[in-house]
Amino acid sequence: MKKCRICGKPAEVFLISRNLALCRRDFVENFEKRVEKTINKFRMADRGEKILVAVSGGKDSLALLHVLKKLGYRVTGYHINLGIGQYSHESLKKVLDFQKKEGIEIIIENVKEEFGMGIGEISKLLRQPTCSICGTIKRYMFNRTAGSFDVIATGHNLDDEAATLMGNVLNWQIEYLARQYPVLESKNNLKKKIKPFVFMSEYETATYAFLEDIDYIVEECPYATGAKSIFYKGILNRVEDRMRGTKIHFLSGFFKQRGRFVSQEKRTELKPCIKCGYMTTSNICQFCRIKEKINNKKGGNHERNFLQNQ
Amino acid sequence: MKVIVKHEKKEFEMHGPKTVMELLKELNFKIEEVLVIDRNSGKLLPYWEKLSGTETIEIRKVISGG
Ligand SMILES: [Zn+2]
Ligand SMILES: [Zn+2]
Repeated sequence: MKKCRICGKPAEVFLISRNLALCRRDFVENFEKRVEKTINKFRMADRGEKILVAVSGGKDSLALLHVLKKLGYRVTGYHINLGIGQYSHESLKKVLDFQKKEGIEIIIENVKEEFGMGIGEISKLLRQPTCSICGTIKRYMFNRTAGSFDVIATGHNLDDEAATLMGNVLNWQIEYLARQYPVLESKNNLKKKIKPFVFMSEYETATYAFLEDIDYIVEECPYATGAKSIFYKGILNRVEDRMRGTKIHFLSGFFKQRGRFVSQEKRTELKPCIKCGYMTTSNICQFCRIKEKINNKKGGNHERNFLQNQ
Repeated sequence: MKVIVKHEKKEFEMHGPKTVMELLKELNFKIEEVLVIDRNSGKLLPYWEKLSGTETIEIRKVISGG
């Protein structure tokens, strides 16, 4: 048996990469302190600002909403019902239960109300990869709702970010590398974007969610099975197994070097979408484009002509 | 003991006594890949804990995609 390094009581949690055994209470306290430290280090937000937190119903996003509220920040949640069968059903239920229990306002929007169909059907109809369609739609709707907020926050954790970095490096996605950072200042009517869990491992966020009695959806989105990010996470965990601290070194080392990539970031001119005003690189934003394509497929010639004339 | 692996939709019996570490090895999980939960006490079980064989254990993966 190991004892809590802080109070000497029997430990309930052991963090291998930090060789740290902690009791329940001290783990929770330590976790919250480190989140606060990350927020301060990157000047993510102060307590007067209104923060909109994207919540999927999974452990990271619900834990983030919970911890930010506990630390005294002004938070509101934002959940999108993606219309992906049972998975979306369960996710929504977890979000609603959480809202009730914690008394935090959560704004809920629905992809089906927006497009008349769920993510899966849209992807099938347009013959485009589900996860990229989903990403575009989620980003748009999140930004649209963020209008009256100061900061938007997502629950990306250390493992998510290390896996993304690995993918970006393997493909030398310089532009993506330039934009991967715990805080992105607001630009072109996009709100300031923060990731307060960037240094918390997936094991830590899952442990925190469990110990704080947060009921989250454990099941995976059915479209995520076989996702590259999960594959990269597995590889990174195997490296971590042999060399403790690899993930955190990989990521924090990159953040220190990131300046090298920022200077190479292409300065693409953005202009407002002619249909909705959202900042985009072409005349019509991707979201409006999806809407139009759906209308087209449903048989409206009017919209097709409109598109061809662009 | 009863072992529940939710994300694989599996439930099965295993014999004790053994440590959590041994249990994870047998099931081919790495220590930080999953939470090991004692369903009766509601506590997390770190790798050194001994299981007598009468417990109900939930193994919950921590990795998620997206
Ligand atoms: Zn303690
Ligand atoms: Zn638009």
